[in-house]
Amino acid sequence: MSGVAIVAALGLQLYSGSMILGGLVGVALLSLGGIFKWREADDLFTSGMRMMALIGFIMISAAGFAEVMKTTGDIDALVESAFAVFGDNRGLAALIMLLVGLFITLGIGSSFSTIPIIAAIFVPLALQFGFSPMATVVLVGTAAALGDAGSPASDSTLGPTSGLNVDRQHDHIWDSVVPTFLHYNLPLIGFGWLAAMML
Amino acid sequence: MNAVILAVLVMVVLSLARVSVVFALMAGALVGGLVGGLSLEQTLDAFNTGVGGGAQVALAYATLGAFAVAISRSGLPDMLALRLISLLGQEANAAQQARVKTLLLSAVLLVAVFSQNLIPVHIAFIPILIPPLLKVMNQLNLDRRAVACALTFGLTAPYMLLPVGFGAIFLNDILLANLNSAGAPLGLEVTRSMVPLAMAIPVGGMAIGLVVALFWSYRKPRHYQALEVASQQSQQGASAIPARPSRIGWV
Repeated sequence: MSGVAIVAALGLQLYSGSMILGGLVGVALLSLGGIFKWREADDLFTSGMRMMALIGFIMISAAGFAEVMKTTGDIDALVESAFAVFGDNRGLAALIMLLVGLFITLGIGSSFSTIPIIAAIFVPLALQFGFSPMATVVLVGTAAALGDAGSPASDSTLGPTSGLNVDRQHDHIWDSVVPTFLHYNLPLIGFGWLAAMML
Repeated sequence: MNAVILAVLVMVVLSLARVSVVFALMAGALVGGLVGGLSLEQTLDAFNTGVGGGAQVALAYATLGAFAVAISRSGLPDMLALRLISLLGQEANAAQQARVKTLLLSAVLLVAVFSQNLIPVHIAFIPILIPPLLKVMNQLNLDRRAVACALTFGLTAPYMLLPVGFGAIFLNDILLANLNSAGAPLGLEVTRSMVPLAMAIPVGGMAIGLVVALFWSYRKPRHYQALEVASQQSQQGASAIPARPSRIGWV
């Protein structure tokens, strides 16, 4: 019965695009299967909410954080001020572009939304520095992707914590964020930089 | 100093100092807003505007949380753990345990990869599929940081490399489109096939990171207590959950 409920919950999510509907039907199926009584549902929801409260509220406040970042207008300023430090050093230029991308993605919590912000400035800049089209793709793509893994407020770390921390033995920052930052962002910077310089 | 850099630094440093991430985000947003030239009122306004967008996700997670609790009461996690123990036999030797660990991690990785393209549910599968497996992981003394690394790799690397599912949105609809619209006046022309090719090198770096995480950093056994998924509720609902120290030891 649990297996059926899991498949149904996932399938319905896929079909309707709604996590809420999927979860609801999963719970209903388990209730029909006699796993718990329907009048215990309140109890169940309270437990479920308590379990997910931290993740939920991080997501909510991360959305607020991102909105403040956008409102300040300093995201564009950051991209533009990157010019100043380059000088005419190609290697430094590549590194700074990657790091600027890292900070923007950490700030707005989504690598998908970072691209439109950085592309307008980075593309002409990269071409001016003589990076090939392939290297330009690497620079913009990697700069955007950087900071998705290893961010305290992105789906890619909150998701794993939401599953692993249900018995409160998995610390979001030290067991999800820091390990993924070390193992994914550092290689992305290194290999992204190398690829940009070689291609 | 740039407000975004400052805000991100404040947020990250506070998080690392074990301040609740929620407070860290609020403090970071406040600092960023004020340094970025917004008034206190404008900062709070912007924050509140953004907060609305997160509410739907939060409700979805609460529903999935209830589902995870229901699953845990169904006895499925115990069944999985029992089956594993019988599978390993009474005297589970190290080699067998290692094999099951590898199997489990590969399965988690595979599901995470598929969640981005084949079955694009994004992260919604995690609160459903992972909690029932925690007992098995405890049995194996599997370091959950390894599981977190496998999941995060599966959630991020595919969209940076494979132009299907969420990857189609990232690589084609956003990256390719923006590169070409920004580069067109300068004579830059990026074709669809160039993108995955170029991204293969940085993603290769992530793959190395994954191997290091699984087979080196978090390979050693780490011990967890066998705690229930959600705090047991008494019939009266009066019993409070004691705040218990959760970690037996760092490995």
